[in-house]
Amino acid sequence: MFDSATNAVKQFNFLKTRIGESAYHVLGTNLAEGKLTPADGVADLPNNKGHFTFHPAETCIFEDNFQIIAAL
Amino acid sequence: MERLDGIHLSGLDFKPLKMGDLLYHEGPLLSHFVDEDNPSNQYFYKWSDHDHVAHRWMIFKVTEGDLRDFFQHKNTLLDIIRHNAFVYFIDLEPNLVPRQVMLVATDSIPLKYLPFDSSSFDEDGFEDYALELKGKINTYRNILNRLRRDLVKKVAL
Repeated sequence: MFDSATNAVKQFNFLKTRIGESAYHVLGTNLAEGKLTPADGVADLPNNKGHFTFHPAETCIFEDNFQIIAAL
Repeated sequence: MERLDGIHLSGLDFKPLKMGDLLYHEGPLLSHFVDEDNPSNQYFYKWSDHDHVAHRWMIFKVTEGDLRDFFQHKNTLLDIIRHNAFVYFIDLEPNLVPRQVMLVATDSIPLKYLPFDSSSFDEDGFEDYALELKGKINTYRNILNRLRRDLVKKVAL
């Protein structure tokens, strides 16, 4: 996950340039945006690219929190 | 996964030893390997594809000159791949068990597996290991140049 849509798109484009079109298999084809709360799970701090690791709680349902906002 | 047009091999003709990751996103995407028996032979492993069981990697040779030029923004990943007449593709199952190893002519690599023309080095996007490797190559180059200068001086004397 990324801390902003801008960082997600930037990283996607960076990797696609270097990995090729198969980058869609790693990162997916759409950009989704949502808000996470402490109850949704545990995350580390974003790195210098804005990427962070998120471990969802059993009760967290991404479909309820996230909406697709653009195609990558 | 894409269909590959090439020759099936029983295995790689070198003993891979992983040195580090240059690109990483929730797993390695571009890694640097050397041949354990002959460490001057260097390879990049570029993640290329996956199915429900295996991950496919493209393996191509990189020379010291390729690496030096890459870190000096004089060539790209695509250029390095195209310096090779052939590349390997290996499909690795969990526990790194090879399902298939193929030798594929560079001209026959599926387009979706190739980096773009602008696949250059970028200090901000690559992993720390890339900077470490860049430093090692510069150091090696400086030592080699100094030895050459010393040799020329000795010959001149």
